[in-house]
Amino acid sequence: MKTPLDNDLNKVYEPFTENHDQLREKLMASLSACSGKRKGIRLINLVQLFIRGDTMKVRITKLATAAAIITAIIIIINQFGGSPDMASTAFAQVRETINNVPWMHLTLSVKDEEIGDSECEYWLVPERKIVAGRSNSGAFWRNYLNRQRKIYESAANTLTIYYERDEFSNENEPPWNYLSAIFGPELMCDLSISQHTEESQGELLNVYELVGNEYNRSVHFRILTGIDDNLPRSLTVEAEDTEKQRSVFVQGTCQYPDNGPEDIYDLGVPKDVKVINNLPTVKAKELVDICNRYRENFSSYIIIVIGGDPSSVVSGVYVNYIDGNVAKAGRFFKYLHFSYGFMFADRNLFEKEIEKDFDSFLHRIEHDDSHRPDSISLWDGKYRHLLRRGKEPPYRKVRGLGTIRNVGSYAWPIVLPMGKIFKDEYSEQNNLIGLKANGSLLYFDPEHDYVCVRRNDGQLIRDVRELARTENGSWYPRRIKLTLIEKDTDGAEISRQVTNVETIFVKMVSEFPEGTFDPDNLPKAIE
Amino acid sequence: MTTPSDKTLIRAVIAGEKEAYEKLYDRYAPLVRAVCYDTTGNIADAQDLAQDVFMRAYEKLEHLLNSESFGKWIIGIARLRCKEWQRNKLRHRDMKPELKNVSSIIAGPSNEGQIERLREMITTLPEKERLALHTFYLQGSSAEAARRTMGLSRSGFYRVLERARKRLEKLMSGEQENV
Repeated sequence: MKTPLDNDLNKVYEPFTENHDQLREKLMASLSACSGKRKGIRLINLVQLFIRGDTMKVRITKLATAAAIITAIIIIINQFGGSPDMASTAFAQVRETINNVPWMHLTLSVKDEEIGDSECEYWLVPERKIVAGRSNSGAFWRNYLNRQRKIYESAANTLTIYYERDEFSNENEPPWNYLSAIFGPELMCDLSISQHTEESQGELLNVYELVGNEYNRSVHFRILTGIDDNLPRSLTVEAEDTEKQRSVFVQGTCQYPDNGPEDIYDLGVPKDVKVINNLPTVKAKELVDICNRYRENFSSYIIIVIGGDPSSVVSGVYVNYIDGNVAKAGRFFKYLHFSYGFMFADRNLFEKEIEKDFDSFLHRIEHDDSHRPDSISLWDGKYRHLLRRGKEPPYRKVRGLGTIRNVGSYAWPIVLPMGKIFKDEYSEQNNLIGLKANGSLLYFDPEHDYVCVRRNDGQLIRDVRELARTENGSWYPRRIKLTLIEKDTDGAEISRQVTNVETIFVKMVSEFPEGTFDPDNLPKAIE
Repeated sequence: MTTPSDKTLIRAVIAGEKEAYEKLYDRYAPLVRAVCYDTTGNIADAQDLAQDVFMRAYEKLEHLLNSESFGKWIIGIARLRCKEWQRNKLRHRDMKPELKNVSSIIAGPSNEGQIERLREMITTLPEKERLALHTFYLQGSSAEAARRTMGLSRSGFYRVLERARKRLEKLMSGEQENV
């Protein structure tokens, strides 16, 4: 039998079948246009690693070129790990060995006819999940453990720190797979691989030759590895596009030191570099200061709530305030922990003032071309107005009956349409009033203005950890813990704290009518 | 008339029958769009990406070793294509992080808002659960087709699907109160 959720989910998925026939026709027309090109396309893309313009659009051009080369090398290493022939199997051992070294240091010299010559270095630290590199135009440092990505641009003398969105690899994805996204999954090229031994500087080495030719493009990798340790010692890559009359030649050596740079500053970044911190987390104080700034603009606040994840990272600020006769709600965050996954906010959001009326807000988002999804809801005393801006359409207005939903939802008793007073061990031990409603168990504290101090929804439990008082003496929950109860594969319950909520400023008069929690005044119970 | 299997269709495509690819497209395109939507957050971009995914899949179809796992394979291509898209987007926006789902947070009480919120909630689920929902609801609520696409046993698939639904319900109820 279909549940309401099933119906909703069916509606959710409707747009994914829209315009299907037209899209199919379009695709088939495109396929006809490229008919006959299927077999060779992979090699073209590989050669494009070196040749094509896309690569050059990356911010630090020469670094990016080198990155492309490294990617190609690594992908080739991984691609050939799985093939059954002898040379490929031997190459798989090379890959395995690289994944187990403490540090891999690559020094590359790139000769590119179009963008000129460059030298660059790379460090790979598989265990610590670090990938770093530098060239004469800059440096980068990606640490997947603390999720920070730093990019230094020497021309601007700036060091920009970003939140690292990518996951580090697992065994199926090489640690540097992020680079592969530049080139796409079709990079499994039709290269031939061969292996022979060769003496170089008095040492006998394995030489892996990977060659591909197609149309007017060719690519040739030559990787020399130790026979005993399987570690690459040096490599060369030649790529040529005769039609464009462009060629790239890369020569590199690999070392495996016990130590390497510990930070981007060890890559030659000056200590006095201008640091631009774009990390999405902010300190609570910063948010409070912003709220206080807003407070001066409006006659009275209703409530401000700051939420954070269990490690106390502040996730956002919720502001509900009265501006004249209009109640307004705003929610501001740089970093929102949302039970699962993350959402990101525009870093400039805090710098923008809230407009004082609906039309001015409308005006702003109409003229803001950043396409940042945005919304605000206003309540004019009778109707709730929602304004939302997305990509298509640029904005829209929705008017509906109702109040702003989040006013006091954390801080004050939740009045439900129906419920039943009950007693259980928890309510008796803590002198609370139990209310069962809509499948939830709510526990109100009669000694503290009937604040709902626990709400148990079966899988989600909210516990008030700390109560505080407003200026007029009303109690409100200052800290709330949210715990998610899940079951593991054996059916055992696991509890996991998902978020903390902290109410940091409250100026609100709350009055509870006499007998609010009198069982006789409640609607008839539901079971 | 029996429905041709993925394997039969793939063989036909490799043999040069383009019409067979249309059938594969009909079978999997909505699913691929949904997977792309998880990254793009909007339908138009998801449609574009899905087209690209099918182009790429077509180009390398003969390299698909197990033609019975076409669904899983094309989802893999979609994921990689999405990563690419994300990276390009970041690059072109000067790496400015994006406010993705704010609109869903202060959404209105209308049913439309509810559906949109639900759609955006799905993007926050763990990947496996998300995929279970996509495959199930986009393949005619057929657990058999969905579990094959995901490469799970029937009971295993139901477990993941149930977990996804419960988590969604929880998120939705939590969201309604918190906002």
